[in-house]
Amino acid sequence: MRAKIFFSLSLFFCIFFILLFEQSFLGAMGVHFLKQFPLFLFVFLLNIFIDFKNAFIFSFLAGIMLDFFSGLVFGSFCLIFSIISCVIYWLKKYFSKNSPFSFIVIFLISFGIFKLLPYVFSCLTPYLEKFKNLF
Amino acid sequence: MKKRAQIFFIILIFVIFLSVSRFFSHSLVNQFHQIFSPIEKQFYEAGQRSKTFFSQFFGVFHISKIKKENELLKQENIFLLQKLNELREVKKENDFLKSALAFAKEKNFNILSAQIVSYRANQDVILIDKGKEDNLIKGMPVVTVNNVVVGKIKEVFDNFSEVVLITNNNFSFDVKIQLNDTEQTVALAKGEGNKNLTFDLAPKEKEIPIESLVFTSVLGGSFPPGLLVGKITQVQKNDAQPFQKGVIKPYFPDFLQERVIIITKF
Repeated sequence: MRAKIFFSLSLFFCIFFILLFEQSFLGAMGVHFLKQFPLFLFVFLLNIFIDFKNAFIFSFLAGIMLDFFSGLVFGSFCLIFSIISCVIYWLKKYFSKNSPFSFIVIFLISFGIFKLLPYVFSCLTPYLEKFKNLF
Repeated sequence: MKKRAQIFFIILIFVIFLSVSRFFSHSLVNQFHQIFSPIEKQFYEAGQRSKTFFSQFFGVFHISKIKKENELLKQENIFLLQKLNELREVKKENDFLKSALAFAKEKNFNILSAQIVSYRANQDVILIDKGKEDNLIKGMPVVTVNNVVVGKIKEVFDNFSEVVLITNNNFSFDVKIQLNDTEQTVALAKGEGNKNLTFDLAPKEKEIPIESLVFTSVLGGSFPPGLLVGKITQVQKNDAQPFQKGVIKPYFPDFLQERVIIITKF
């Protein structure tokens, strides 16, 4: 139980520091091409290596925290990361786990969806026009 | 069936959470930033320092680019210096016009400002850049912005005019000499050439102190009254002569700048 709590807290702090790194540190350095990428990578690895239930919770948490930092439409990142978590779970079912090729394919597909989702949301309703600014 | 219900339940909670969160997200985000802003600041400062370091480090590989930028900046600097000089000139002109406007308002004159184009020292004549097209006519008084008399318009061309200075050999006009706080006397000022001015026909019984100020007089009608001419530097009093005369140091050479004011109506 203790190990589980320790593991959860570690993940939580990892998310927090990645967020600070990409929002404040990289932002101050003027690096924009990696926008939201480190957190996505972290969420992707979580979803690949731990079970769906926990990965989903941490993805959700990561999304919520990014919502706090980004100051855009609240809940948008939360929704996107949750969907990404589900997508990875679904992809994992259809591709072999041990093949490096499948790892790359899952990464590419999930990253593509991650980049595509804001545009999809913005097309769905005019209110979500702000989604275009997320990435 | 149970699993589907669970998924539906999770999605429902999710949607409710996102909908409700919209209402308190503003204060929540505010609280969040209040707590974590010191850490965010540290990361931001670290990022700034890293940016400086990396830009210096990678700058070595961009010498040609820096050189080019340096050349551009030099050119831009020259261009800006020219602009600055232009602005200085405009400011100078603006200051002059402001003073001229105050002068005209104070004396209730109609005035026109002109620039001095040249100065003919041997004739005590200046050329200004306003003429017939600006409705100038012969005989209009010319002064500095400090109320100091300069001369009168002698010749008017289409775009230029000649101004004869009060120190010209053939120039004479009525003046009043301020003897003290209450007393004045009249005299006739005469130009002697080469920026020299004298006075004559001052009543013998009046005691004229050195350094007395000389102003234009209403007599003669050449100039509006009360304009400054100069100060007395020498007085010659002779019992054999019915009047006293002396030397006036005209003020206008000290105040004559690039621009003068023509009084078109007084």
